[in-house]
Amino acid sequence: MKGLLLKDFYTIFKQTKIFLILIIVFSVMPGYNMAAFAIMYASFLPITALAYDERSKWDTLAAMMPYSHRQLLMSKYVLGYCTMAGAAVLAFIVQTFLAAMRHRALATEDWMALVMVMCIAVIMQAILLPVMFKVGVEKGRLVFFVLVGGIVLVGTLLGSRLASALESATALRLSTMLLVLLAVAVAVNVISIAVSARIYRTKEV
Amino acid sequence: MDIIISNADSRPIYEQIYAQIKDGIVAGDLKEGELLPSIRTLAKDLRVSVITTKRAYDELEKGGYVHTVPAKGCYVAERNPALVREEYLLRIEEHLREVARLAPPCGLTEDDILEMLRLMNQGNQGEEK
Amino acid sequence: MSGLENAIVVKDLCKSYPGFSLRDVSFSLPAGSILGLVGENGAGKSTTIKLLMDAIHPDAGTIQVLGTDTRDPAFSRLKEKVGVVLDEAYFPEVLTAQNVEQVMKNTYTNWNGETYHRYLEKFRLPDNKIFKNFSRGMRMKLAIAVALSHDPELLVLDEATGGLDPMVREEILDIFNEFTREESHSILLSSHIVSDLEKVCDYIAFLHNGRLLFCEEKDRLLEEYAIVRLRRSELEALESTAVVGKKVTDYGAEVLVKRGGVPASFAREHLTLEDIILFLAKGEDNA
Repeated sequence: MKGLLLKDFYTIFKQTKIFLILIIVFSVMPGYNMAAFAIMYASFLPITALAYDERSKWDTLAAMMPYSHRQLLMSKYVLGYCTMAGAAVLAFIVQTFLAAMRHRALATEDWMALVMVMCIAVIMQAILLPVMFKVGVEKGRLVFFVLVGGIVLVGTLLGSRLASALESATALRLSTMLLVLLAVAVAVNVISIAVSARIYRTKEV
Repeated sequence: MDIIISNADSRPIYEQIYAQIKDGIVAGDLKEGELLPSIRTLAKDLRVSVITTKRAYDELEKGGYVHTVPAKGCYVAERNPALVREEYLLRIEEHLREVARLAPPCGLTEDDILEMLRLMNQGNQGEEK
Repeated sequence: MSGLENAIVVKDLCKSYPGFSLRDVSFSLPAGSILGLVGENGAGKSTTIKLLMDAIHPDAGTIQVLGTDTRDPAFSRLKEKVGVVLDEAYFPEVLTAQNVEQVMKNTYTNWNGETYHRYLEKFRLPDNKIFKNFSRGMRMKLAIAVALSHDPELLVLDEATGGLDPMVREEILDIFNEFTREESHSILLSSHIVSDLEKVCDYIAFLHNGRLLFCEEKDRLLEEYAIVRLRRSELEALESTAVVGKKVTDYGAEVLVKRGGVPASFAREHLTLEDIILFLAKGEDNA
């Protein structure tokens, strides 16, 4: 899988300099909601890699190389985890530094929010990847927009209620929510990987 | 030795290779016991199919010109005087056929031809002295 | 690796798509040989190659590559021994030759960086330019360099010489020649350019509309057939069994015949593999 990851890293680092700049910029801006954007952008990167694969019909060539299906699909998941974790860590470091400059410690809400955003991004990736493996990047993007639209919709509708709930939530409540979210993220990913494996087994290039 | 494969030649390639190697053996360019290039090496050097060189070597073996030692290769067979004589006789026959064809238009009889041969041989002997 | 009789064995291969199907394809590639798979575009050459390498699954039939069945779980590891060059599938175009080496180093256990760089030099390929800007010839050469750099026993190439200028084509055919000096090395080469295959192949397999019309020794093909030009009236006199294909115009007829089936009095024209293929294909279409 190292080879596959390398290929994707070379691909995205060359072509998504803008993304990278955005990610870095967003992670260094104060406030955790900016960091959220950084992580979300990071989650786009496996999709970009997939798009480049499609452009050069890499799948056909890869199918003839000594990769297993597992390696091929896992490389995209791992790519996502790495880029998102990278963005999150970067954001965390910068936010802590900024807070320290203001002689404050990073508020618990701040890093909890980071983790929350990571979970949501990871869940989104888990939903998107199997879809893209099955129907390709173009159609997958449609699903992506629907998803994002849905989240935005839910966010605006429940937004204020959610915000107030968060404000008044006790620390315990928050941490339980977080743990639940983490569990859901893990579960969704496990299911997603299984589904992707199924898709790859019958996939025709 | 050189082996030339010609497209203008109507004979199949394996035959051309066979003929040239055989001629080389008969003429003594290829010595008894000499190891011939492997089927594969010859094929790649001549840019022809391995199947072709194999056929040529098979024909040479059938004709008694070479013998194959398993895992070692093809060696030029012991010079078989009977075979060589046979080969030369065939060629002489060919030439004679040509002479017989060309003589009548010039009005030469058999005796005329024999006389020509005698003169030629005397001339050769004169040169040798 | 000794004792392997055939590098590839295909039996009764079938694969259907809407609008096209590969039917009952069977052939073998004897170890140490070069087999040319000829066919017009759409005949099924790429499909056959994808089936060979287990990129797609057959509807029926079996395939063995270097002694291993494609359905065997060990087949994935067998791909280490096969060098693949495809027509339209490459590395993402934003990679450089250097990048590709890093990827391949971590893909093939027997990757040989020295060999790779030797070929890059021989082909005059730049190390650090992305191949979005490579010509088709350069892309092909890079793919061939990669395919040769992990010590393969079998090379599979799909339309590798198409679109290349004659000098490059000659260079590449030379490489194929050298590659097969080794008895255990074999090549499967597909192309619609018959003249390329004619130069370098030991065997020719002709794929037409999804069916394999023949798989034969190239030299025997050229010995077996002949082309004869004659008047249309003389055409009837020829035994129909000897005539394999014919082209009739208002001015005369050109026939592909089996050499033995036609009296020696008929003059034989110079015959190329392409002639044989064209006549046979037309014959099939008209049948």
